[in-house]
Amino acid sequence: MTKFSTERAAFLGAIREFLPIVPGVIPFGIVYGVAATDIGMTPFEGIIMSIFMLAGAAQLVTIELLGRDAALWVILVSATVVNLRFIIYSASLSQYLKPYSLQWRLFLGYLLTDQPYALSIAYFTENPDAPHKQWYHFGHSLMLWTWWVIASAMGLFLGDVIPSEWNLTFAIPLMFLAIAVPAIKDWTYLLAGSVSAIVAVLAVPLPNNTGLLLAVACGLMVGVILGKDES
Amino acid sequence: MNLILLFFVLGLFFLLERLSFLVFLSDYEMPPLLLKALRYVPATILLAIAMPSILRTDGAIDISLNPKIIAACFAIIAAWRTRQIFATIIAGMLAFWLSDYLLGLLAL
Repeated sequence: MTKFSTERAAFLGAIREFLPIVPGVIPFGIVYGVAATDIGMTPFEGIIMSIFMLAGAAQLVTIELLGRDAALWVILVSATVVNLRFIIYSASLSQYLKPYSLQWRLFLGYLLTDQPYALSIAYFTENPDAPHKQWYHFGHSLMLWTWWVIASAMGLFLGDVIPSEWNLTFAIPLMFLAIAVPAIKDWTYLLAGSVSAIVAVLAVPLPNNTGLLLAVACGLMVGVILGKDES
Repeated sequence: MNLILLFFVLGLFFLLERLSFLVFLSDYEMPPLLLKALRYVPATILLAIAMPSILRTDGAIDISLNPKIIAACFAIIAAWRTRQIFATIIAGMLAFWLSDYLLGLLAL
């Protein structure tokens, strides 16, 4: 990957690199929009939900629970637990974004989601000394925000406009694979990643996405035990 | 209208999670063990997100020769050789559609 030497180059470079992710985001947003319509939410409420929460999986969980008339505290706890991975992203990114102003970190914090995290951490790990990291991360975050809101609106106003037989949402796990593979730098990463993957697959039945946290905890433990100490 | 309030409160909770280390704990000096663990975060969390969608179909574990697994194999090879996200997604989706079509023909 190239280092971007100006703010503009970092921002535009990130926007360009995000383009292949867009076809995976759109069908997911449509799935969300259709689910929201199904439980009787108005398009306005649906778009506000996407802007306030900005978290596809948690939005779908919330809709599922609203549809079942779940208690308020159940909704609050479930959705918050589904997003506990944001704390891990926050810790992981703060190593690289710490030097930037409070305003930048508040702003990028609101925009923090899976795909921008994955894309940015891959670049920061490869180029720890790269300048303008905030602009690079902002490029990805802005793209995700914009396309998530557009795709939500498409689902809310138009319904199923993309045939589900195309299976475009499968591009999402492929994207995570695309970033995970280069992150495997030696056999300790391979082993940590494999343990995490196996636990994640087995632990899917655990409530509120907690299987994901268990998987990551197991994988990190393997990494800490086997990894070399130099950093 | 109270839906909007609920979404606002949820968004606020998520914001606390998102800002946890970026803002509230940004001055916290992480111990070496935590820093070491953080090096493994990208590989572990990305695989933990991706693999259940690949190895489960309609909720059940499915490790038969199916389009998703074939596509994932091609995507892993593409990611390893090219290190390009776009090439990986294209390789994976083409392998998915083609194997879905071919396996469909075989099943007839």
